[in-house]
Amino acid sequence: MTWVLALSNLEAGRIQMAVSLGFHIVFASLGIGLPVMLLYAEYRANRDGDAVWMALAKRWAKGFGILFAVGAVSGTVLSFSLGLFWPRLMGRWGSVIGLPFALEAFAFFIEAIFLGIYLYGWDRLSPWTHWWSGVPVAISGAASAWFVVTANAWMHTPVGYVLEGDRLVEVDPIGAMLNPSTPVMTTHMLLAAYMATGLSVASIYAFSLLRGRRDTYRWRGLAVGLVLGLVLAPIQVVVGDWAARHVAEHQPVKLAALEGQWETQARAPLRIGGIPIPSREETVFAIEIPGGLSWLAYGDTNAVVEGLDEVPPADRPNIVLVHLSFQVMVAIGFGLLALGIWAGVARWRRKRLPDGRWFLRAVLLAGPAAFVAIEAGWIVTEVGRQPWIVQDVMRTADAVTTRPGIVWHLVGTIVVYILLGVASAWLLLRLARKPQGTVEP
Amino acid sequence: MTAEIYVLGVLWLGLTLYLLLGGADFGGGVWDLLAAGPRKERQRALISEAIAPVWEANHVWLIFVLTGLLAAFPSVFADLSVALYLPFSLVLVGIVFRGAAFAFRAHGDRESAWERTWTPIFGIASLVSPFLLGASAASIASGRIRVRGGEVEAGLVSAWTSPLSLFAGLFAVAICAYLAATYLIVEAQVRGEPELARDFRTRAIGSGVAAGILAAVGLIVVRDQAPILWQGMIERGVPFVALSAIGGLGSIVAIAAGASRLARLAAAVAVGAVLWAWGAAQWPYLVVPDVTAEAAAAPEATIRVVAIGFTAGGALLAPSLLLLFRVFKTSERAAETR
Repeated sequence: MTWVLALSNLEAGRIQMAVSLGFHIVFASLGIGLPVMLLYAEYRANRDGDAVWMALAKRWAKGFGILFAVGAVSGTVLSFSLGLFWPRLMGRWGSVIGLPFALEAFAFFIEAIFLGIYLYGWDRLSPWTHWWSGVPVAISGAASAWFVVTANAWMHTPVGYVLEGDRLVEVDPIGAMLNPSTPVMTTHMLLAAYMATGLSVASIYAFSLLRGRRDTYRWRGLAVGLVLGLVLAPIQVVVGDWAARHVAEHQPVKLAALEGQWETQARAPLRIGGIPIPSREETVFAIEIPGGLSWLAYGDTNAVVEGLDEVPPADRPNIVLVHLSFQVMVAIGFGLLALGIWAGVARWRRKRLPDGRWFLRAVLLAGPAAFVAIEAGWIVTEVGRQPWIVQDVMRTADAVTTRPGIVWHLVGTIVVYILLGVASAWLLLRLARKPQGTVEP
Repeated sequence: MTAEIYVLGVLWLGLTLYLLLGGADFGGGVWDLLAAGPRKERQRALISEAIAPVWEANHVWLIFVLTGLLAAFPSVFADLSVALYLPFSLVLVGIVFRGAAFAFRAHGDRESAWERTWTPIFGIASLVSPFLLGASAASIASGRIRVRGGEVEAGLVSAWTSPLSLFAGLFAVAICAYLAATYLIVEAQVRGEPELARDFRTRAIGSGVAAGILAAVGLIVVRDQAPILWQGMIERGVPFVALSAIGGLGSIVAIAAGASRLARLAAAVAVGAVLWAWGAAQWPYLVVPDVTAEAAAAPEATIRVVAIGFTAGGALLAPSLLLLFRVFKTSERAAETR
């Protein structure tokens, strides 16, 4: 732990933000995806009068209650953290990017209100009224994520203001919200949230199916999660490609970092794997596809791709971390695509999902893997933008608070989040282990 | 300037609702911590049952105020985050543990070690958070935070540990407890639990009297320690102070007379008026004595969009909230499920 205490305010603030976001994103993603699955299960239960579907809906609702509570408090931590750690970012740019945060509060409100009705209203509302009370939860969960990601998108492609010297003279908060990165980033994140939720739920049922508890309840739970997760996998690959081309256009240094491209060159190769060596300014052990990167980024195998050498070392992100995280995310994305093809082909030829042990083992891995991909993706996005907090406009070092001792806040956060993570995992596992039909709201 | 005042008014209304709803949830936690007597466990069960469906929504008022401040008065958001770094960080610890403990406890087994672990955490966190928020409010109002040339000057600890801050912290805890106790009388009656109602009647009168005494002494401390705030209080705050006093006395009379719904309303008026007395007294400053609302406001274009956003969002929010309270806080419905 001693190295932690030696961190500077800037380093501690960045790790603090990474820890808080990395923790919250898990609960936030599940909060976006679970309502959709709940609505599907409860729809089938209501339509067919089916007890198994109802048991699934009630179990998921219970789990959602725990996850939402932790997501709500860790989200509160983040809204304070914006000011506690980055007061100069907020003081200076709040009038440009504060709007989506303010609107997000309304979305969060609607979500919390209808979640209260949904979770505690089973006995107070008719079955279909109850089902409808879940619809605003699903919509506002996605809307919250959309608003927050627009603010993050702005940090990558800041627009919607005019500076005169050091003074903001013109502000267009709507234009800032709808900045060039908004469409691709919000789409990428929402898809990821649905995929990770579906696959995590499927993963839990794969575990008990592998242990020999093969019943309709578990197969249905697995199928709903798997379909949600895997149907989106090919779409996510296409959106991922869109994201990479967008980065190539707007943040060439970041593209160079995530591809391990040190020199500006025509006919740049696409590197699969590989380790960047900063001291030698080269990326070794990669499988290189000649012209691949030029083609992916600009649609022409002879196009010139800017390298990290376009900017001085002080203006480059941590290339090793960014490149490796990017490789991990892409590898998992293609892995999930392959799993989707496996399931899809079996469904097409045999009219049902595969049920072999190897398939279940793959599903068991897919849930955690999807969350690893989300975390890796955010590392790519955020670390890839460094040393800027607002791309080419404000450095992260200029935004951090002047208050000393952030490191203590960091230590406290890590301890508290480990405690909360372990406690909620324990509760959820306990909930999952209860026999079917014993979970009452 | 009118759009600014509108936005600030909505934010202040949001803060009022946070106090009246979220504050009562904190107060519920305080009574959970202080649960005593033969009906100890039933008191706790009532508190949990009353809070469970609404606390997530009640909690969002804080996020609303925070993000609204960020959008419309960004420099104030930044200045307060620097000045009150320590109490805000500690409030977060309280909020995180309160929210998590409440949910964790509800999903564990009754009378298990798990429950016994999270119960005091829920109670202590519910006590600490309003105390720190009250202390921070006094710090903002009493000139302990200076902002000169865009730079914040405030002691990491001394900014929020003046006698007035400590007093305000205690007062905040007292009014939260008082609100919760008055609300819980109604909750107990609706559930047909006259003994529990009696328990909370005693608690409501006790905490109400304590809050009243703290308020009266508090005014003297304000006169002594925060001259600008005191001046504003005399010039603009008097009607709200009077309203608060009438509400407070009225609620105690109503509790004694057994009119618990009227008491609940009167208590909410009494506590809400405190916040508006503070706001009126502090006007036009957002951070006394260096930052005025006019100087801190975001550019006109932002304020206008935020005002439109608040109005549109409010139009969605108001019916949703009414629905929530109608489903869970209406006596006939609750009685049906008995």
